[in-house]
Amino acid sequence: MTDRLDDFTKNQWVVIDDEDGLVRRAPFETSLFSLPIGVETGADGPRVHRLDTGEALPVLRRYGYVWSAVDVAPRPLFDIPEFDEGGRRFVPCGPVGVKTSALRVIENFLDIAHFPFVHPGVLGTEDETEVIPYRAEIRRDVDEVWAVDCGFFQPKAMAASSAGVHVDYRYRVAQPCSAVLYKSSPGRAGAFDLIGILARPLDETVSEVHAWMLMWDDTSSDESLLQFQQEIFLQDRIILENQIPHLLPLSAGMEIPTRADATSIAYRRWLKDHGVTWGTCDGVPEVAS
Amino acid sequence: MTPRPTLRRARLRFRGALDPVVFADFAARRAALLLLEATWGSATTEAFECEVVGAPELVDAFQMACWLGPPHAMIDAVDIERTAG
Amino acid sequence: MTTTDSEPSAWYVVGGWTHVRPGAACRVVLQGVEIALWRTQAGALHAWGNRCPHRGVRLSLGIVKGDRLACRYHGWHYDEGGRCRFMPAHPNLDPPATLAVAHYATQEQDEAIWVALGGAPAAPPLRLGTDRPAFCRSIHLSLGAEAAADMLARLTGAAPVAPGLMQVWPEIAGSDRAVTLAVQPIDETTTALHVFLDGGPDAAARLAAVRWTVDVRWRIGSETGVEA
Repeated sequence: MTDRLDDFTKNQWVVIDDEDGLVRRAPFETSLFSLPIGVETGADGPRVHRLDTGEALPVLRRYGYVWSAVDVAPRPLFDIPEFDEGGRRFVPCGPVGVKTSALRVIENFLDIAHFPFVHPGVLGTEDETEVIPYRAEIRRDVDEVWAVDCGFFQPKAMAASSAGVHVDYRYRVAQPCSAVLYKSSPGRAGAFDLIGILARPLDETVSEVHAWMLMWDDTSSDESLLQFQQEIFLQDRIILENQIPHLLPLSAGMEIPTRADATSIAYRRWLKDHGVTWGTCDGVPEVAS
Repeated sequence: MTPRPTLRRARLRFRGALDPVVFADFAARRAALLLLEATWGSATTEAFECEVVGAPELVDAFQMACWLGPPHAMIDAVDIERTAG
Repeated sequence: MTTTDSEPSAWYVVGGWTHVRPGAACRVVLQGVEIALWRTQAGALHAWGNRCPHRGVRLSLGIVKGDRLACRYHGWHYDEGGRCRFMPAHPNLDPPATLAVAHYATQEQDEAIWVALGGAPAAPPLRLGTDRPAFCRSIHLSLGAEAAADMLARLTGAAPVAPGLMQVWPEIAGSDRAVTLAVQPIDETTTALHVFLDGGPDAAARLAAVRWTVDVRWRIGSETGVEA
């Protein structure tokens, strides 16, 4: 419902597709904030327009993706300087549909306590479930949510890892529907690999998710990297589609957040600050069980 | 994984914009849910003060819940004064 | 978060005894309320509100570990009383007794699983037969409970014998056995019927009753033009 579309949500660039994927899949019809849109390729590049009004929507090409917005002048896309540094490999993972709010997708991406249970033997193990206190904060100077000092043991941190390793994670949220994970790289000591997630809300409880990787890995094939990421996301999808409510609650009344949920709480608090209503709910239960 | 009986005592001040009556009710219910012993301090539209005692993880969980707070509360900062139980 | 013992509530059949096996969990819906039905490894049956109080994931997806149910998201463990006993992210914490899942009265009787949503009813569930009733099969209909009962009466001659129960004597393997249908209102537009055959164990009779049930479902589908 577009009357729930708040300005902060409306004002951001949202992913349409990765560049190569768009060229292969165009022309196609899809949705953005419950508005039907058409996507095609033209002489001057990709074009996006509303199917109901015919209005052309702005298009941006950055970081290997094509972005659009329902606002005529969205605020600038966040910076990812690592894309301009040479040497890392970029792998876009292609779209996956999920029946929940885009904000729930981002919240799940920010969560580490679920690794031993949702991604056992890969991102976590039931032998090591403790979440050491980490730091989650809203950085007012850049208006972003950050979580740092998230460290723990992973059996198989990336496609290239053959043994378990202690990893360092940092999370960054710069707009409601996007997040970036900076992860200690197995391919280069002391450096970070990046994993990003971009979610397009088709409507408030249906989303299309694009994950991407930017990393120091020369050895794995594209297929093995894609398969690794795909498997992870399909495991998350089962959880996401069975999480009630699908809309992200902006109060804690219906849940019991602990210190391990600090990044989720910071993200929700930041959304609340910006008056986000799209994809959210009050978090007050309607019926006492 | 033997539970430690150590309790934590913490004085918390939540600062921002809030409805003192609604926030007080929310905090009281959360403290009860987490089995924390709570002493309530001053509550204004800018700050809510309390002291809670309980297992460290539950004191943290109380802080998490109140940082996000009830629907219209906007907590910008949490001042914490911790002492070992 | 236990249900209060307020007004007496009614027992409803939500499945045959095989609907959930030891060490398994599944989801049933009764009058619009989602329930996580699960059995410990030893077979003890529980019916809980289908939502982990941590971050809202369905407990019907949970993993049974002995006599505990663990949420699939972050592994929070709950004991048979619904009380949280372990939070893996905080392994040193002994969770307080106040952290618990809502639970409902449940009972197994006559090879049926019964659930009551309000406080536990004073009386046990109704009998589904007089001589060792056996569970045959469940069918789902895209009809409200009243419409389903009316259609059953019209198509099979089944008559209500008690609230939520209908009975009919179709010809089952040439014998005079009663078939009892327990009506489960899932929500306003969906109903499940659970079919029980009276008269003691008899594999051939049970198979005939299952076939009869499938035939009834097909006939209802033809009438309504809707795939069940």
